[in-house]
Amino acid sequence: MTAHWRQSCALGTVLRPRHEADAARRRVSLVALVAVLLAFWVGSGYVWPSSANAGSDVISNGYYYNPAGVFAPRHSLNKVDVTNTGSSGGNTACENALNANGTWAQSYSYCAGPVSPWNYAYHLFCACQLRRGWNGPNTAAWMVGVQYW
Amino acid sequence: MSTSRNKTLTLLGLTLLCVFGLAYATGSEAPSAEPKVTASLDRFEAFRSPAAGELPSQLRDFAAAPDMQQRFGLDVSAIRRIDGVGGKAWYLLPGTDSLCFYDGAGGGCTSLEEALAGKLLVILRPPPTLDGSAPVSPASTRGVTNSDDVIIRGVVPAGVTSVRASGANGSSTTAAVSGGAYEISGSAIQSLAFVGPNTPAPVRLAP
Repeated sequence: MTAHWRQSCALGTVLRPRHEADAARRRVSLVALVAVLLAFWVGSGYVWPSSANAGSDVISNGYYYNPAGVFAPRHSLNKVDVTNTGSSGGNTACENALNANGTWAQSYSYCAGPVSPWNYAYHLFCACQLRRGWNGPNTAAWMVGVQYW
Repeated sequence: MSTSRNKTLTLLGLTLLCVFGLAYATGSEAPSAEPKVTASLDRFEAFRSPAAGELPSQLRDFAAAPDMQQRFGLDVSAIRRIDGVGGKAWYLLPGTDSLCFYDGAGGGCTSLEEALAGKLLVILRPPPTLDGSAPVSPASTRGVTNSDDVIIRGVVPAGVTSVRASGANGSSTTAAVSGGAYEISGSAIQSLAFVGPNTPAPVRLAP
């Protein structure tokens, strides 16, 4: 078989069938590759970012002792959260958001208390206006907070 | 002949790769289609009733978001609606050994064990009073005043009929539990005690 193809190519008489076979192989490989990528993309949809959140910013990550707290960049937020990562009692880690006009988006900050390990608090937003996500302790607290947009 | 066999083997290999890749990806990260209503979860009254039908789209997106799936493995199909404080719709969101609640605007999450101990709660505080200047950097520091006035919202297991909060000055207030949910307010609350025929131990909020 190999000798036959080599001879045919050398003679230049049956080049077309070999090219068609190569092209068919390439098409099959391409389709298979797309299928593999599609399978992994569909299957790992829970790992990769979905359209629900275009992005996120870490607001706080560590020990904070100024009740004025910290702000994240301005975005159309759909969630701000905070986790109290400390173990000492009495300290709460809070989340809120500041509107573009300087007013608070929430009349109350939602705070994760020291009642259980890694206590988590969150607040959802309509993503209808630009805001800065905020994290702050009531006195001092270890916290991790993120804004989603 | 050998070319055809090679092509067949290549296709077979790629097909197997697709199947195993899909199975691995979905099996390792996706939540189970079966509601994770366990015996422990059944200790919350809401889980003795069918799952909520229509969900607010904001809540559905929140529960299905990748970060919440990775962290708590929330089961959107098993979310329960309860008549929370003031008859307002609250929701309980079960996850992998965890439980969250949503009060219509926000909420909290903790492990199922901690939730059974009465520790599924959030503390609402007035935001700090800033000095009026707009924040100019992500880490601006400004004048601030804080308040000791708090509102506590939480969810308790069946058997708790009311919650009593004790303040630093010896004062105490009591709030009724509705549908497993409660809201109680006070100043410098130090601890919560649960009242009813079957209650968790008191929860300390301050050292």
